[in-house]
Amino acid sequence: MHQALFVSEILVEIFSHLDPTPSSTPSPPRKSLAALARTCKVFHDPAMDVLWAYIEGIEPLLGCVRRLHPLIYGSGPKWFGCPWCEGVEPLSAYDARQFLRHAARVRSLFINFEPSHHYHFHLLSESVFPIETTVFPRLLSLSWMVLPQDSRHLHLFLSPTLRRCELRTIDPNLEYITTRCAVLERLSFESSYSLATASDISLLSDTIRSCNRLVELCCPLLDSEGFRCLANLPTLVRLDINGPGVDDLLDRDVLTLAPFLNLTALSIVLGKPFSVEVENIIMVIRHSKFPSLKKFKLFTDDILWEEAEQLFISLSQCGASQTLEHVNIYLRDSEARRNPFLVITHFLRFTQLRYLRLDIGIPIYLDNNLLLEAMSSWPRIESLELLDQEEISGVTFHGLFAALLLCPRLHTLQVSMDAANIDIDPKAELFQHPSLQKLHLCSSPVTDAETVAFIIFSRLPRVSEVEYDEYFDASLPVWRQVSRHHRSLKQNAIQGLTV
Amino acid sequence: MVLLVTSDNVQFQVDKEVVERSVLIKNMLEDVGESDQSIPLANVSSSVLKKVIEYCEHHRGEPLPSADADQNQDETRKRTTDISEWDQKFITVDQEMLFEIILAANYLDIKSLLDVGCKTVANMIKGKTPEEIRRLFNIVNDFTPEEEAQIKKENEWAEDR
Repeated sequence: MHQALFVSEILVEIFSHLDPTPSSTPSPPRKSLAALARTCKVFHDPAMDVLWAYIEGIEPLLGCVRRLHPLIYGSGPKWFGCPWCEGVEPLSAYDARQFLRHAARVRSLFINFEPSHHYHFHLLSESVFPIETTVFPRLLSLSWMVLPQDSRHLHLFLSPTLRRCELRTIDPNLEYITTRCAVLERLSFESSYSLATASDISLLSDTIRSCNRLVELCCPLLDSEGFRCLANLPTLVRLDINGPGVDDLLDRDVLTLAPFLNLTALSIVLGKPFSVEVENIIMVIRHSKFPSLKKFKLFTDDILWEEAEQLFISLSQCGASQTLEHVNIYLRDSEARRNPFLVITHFLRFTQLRYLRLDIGIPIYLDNNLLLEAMSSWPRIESLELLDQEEISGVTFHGLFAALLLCPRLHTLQVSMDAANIDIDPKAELFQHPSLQKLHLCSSPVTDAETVAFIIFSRLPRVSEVEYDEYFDASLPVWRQVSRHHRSLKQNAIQGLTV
Repeated sequence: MVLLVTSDNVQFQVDKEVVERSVLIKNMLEDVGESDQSIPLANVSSSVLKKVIEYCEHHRGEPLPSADADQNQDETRKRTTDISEWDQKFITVDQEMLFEIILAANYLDIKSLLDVGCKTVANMIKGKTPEEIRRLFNIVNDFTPEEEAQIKKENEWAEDR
């Protein structure tokens, strides 16, 4: 046996590469770790630490209880709805010692919707596991996706070491987090399962106040108190608002100059928000400072264009205009009115932009001048996707290449253009863009497929394929020809044939 | 250039950029500043250091993993046993040399080399029974049959059922 195999840090390194991925139980790596644990005493602890680091449900721990082992493993396959633990007595103090034997090795625990994960809870009686019990003293990550009636067991699964906690809903048991999880860094709620009430939001705000090391939070729209806490939390880096919240207007005074000092990512995903929620979002964006914000995402299905425009104006005027690098917006108008406004102009202040994706279901009204102005405003742009619904675009090849000259780092471009208007000499020696690899021209009008393919091939040598919208309109057959010609030109170039 | 001296007293002149893939050596160089002083590597023999230098030469200029690397990245790195083609060829050595490289990578703090070595050993272990692992690495079973049976019972959830 080589001396390297006596060094526990090396053993952990080796065994970590056999760490099973979530949702693959039992997996070959897990089986290998179980084999390693039985190989020799030197391997036992490092292998057990890696093997037990991640478990799904508490059945593995219950399997360590001698009287339960034959029930769990001895009865062949278990049928859905007929759990082995039905009618089984709760654990005694003696059983509990066996149950807890490897609990300290668990670093990550996933309890999901499966009934088998839930049926076990009645085995953990309060007389043996009183409220102050910490079952998993070294737990780092908990995913607690249980039904509301099982939520009362949450306290058993919280530990003072917990860094990441994912919960299904907001419920009164959340209060245990405030008393037990002093170092919690990531907290998230899958709030889509139920609508948060005013008391839920109030409880959430109280919880957040006690989590003074929070780095990431994913939750419904908060109330004023919640935003006040978050705005003053210097550790907070990422905030995801993933559902509707209170239907009261936020207190403007609370938000005015709210620092959000180190927040780098703000994501707002609201299905069909009420006006008050949109107004609250606008207020948060307009009145907060966001001096470090780099990423902004807004997805909503149902919003008035007047509100959308207010949102864009607020965003362009907030403190993040000099820091924002990544913007991703998806909007749909509730009344499907085509109320034009020059969306792009609201983003020209973001001089650090590297990624911009707008899918807003209305015309973007881009022309050569505006594209040139945009590209000169965004010298660092790497990806620009404007999912334009407008069939007649004012961008021509001349304007496109003039704009591309200003953004040498651009690798992805999706834009609608007037490809029927060939206003450049296709054979003229002009620049070749050094980095553009992905070109999507939406459903731009096009007539001369061969020339368009040649222009793209000669000016944009790194583009491997011309992409376009696949829904049928007059341009689709021509774009297919463009694509075919372009592929043929690439193929010939690879084979060294003269073009 | 930096002068490295191995445990068997062989000297190696190596480019600073190459040896600085070792966090240990990088820190030592920062501590001593500009100097012609040689760096003794008491735990590394010349045959092993030759291989380590070959690895560092090949990966010269590649970004080093930062100390505050994203935790998810680290988890992803650990949960894969994929090894690049060159690295695979490089690490095709006898078992003695493989473990010597791992020890050296651990001592010299060259994370990517340690990964390659440990992934190789993990690949050798995958799918084997305890007895096969013992045979592979010449390990003596120091468990009693009762102890081994008890561990097997506790880990039954991890076995195919």
